[in-house]
Amino acid sequence: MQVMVEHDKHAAVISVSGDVDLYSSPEMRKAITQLSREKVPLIVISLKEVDYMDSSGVATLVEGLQLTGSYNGSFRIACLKPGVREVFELARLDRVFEVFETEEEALKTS
Amino acid sequence: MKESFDIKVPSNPRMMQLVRKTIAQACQMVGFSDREIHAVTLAVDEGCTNIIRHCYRNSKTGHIVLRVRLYNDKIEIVLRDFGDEIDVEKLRECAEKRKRELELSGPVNPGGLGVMLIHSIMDRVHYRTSQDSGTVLRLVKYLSSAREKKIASNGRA
Repeated sequence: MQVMVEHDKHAAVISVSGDVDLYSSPEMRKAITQLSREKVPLIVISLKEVDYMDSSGVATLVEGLQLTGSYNGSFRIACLKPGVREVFELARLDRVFEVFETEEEALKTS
Repeated sequence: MKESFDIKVPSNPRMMQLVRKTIAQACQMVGFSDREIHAVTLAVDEGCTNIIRHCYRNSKTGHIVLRVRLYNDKIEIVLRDFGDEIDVEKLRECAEKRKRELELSGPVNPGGLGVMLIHSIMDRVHYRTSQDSGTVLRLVKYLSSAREKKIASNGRA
């Protein structure tokens, strides 16, 4: 799994590629925690290169939502692929997260 | 039964990719759809993840044995570990509680999500645990056509 971060002081995009599981999710968690520590107002997680995510990945995203919520920041998910969307639906996460079709939409919408 | 095979992997999260690929291929041989293959693979992954976290307490020195049985209408995967005994009743309650919470609102606390996913995906989930011989988790998934037939025949009975 690879994690790339692009950010300015207003927003950050964390682009994840590969499988997100118990082995790899700490890498994603590290990026989210770092940006939350800097209190970046908007964090977008782009999952367009992720075909597989297990509950460790889901738990990391829920943690990100809670961390950003603690300073009234926004935490958004973009570009869900069918396999990951299904995990979100099974866990009812589609109702909890703000999910966008593209990174651009996630960054634009206020 | 058509075929069966065993694999034994260390309790190392890094090995889960190998487990997923093997299970996906086995599901394909039975004839599951891509969606079902993804779901069964996820359930087995969650089972292994729980073993690593709870039975081996994240130690990489333990082992997980997976016995995979391929049938004409279903797949059966038996996960066995040799770690700490688990409280099966507590696990069942946790999955039920989690399911109820999700139905009511949404996940605030992601704990227990893995167990809930296993129960949501698989048609049969059975645990057997003991202090001396670890835990055995038996998972069964029927092909959709076989499941429909089963429901229909149960309805007639």
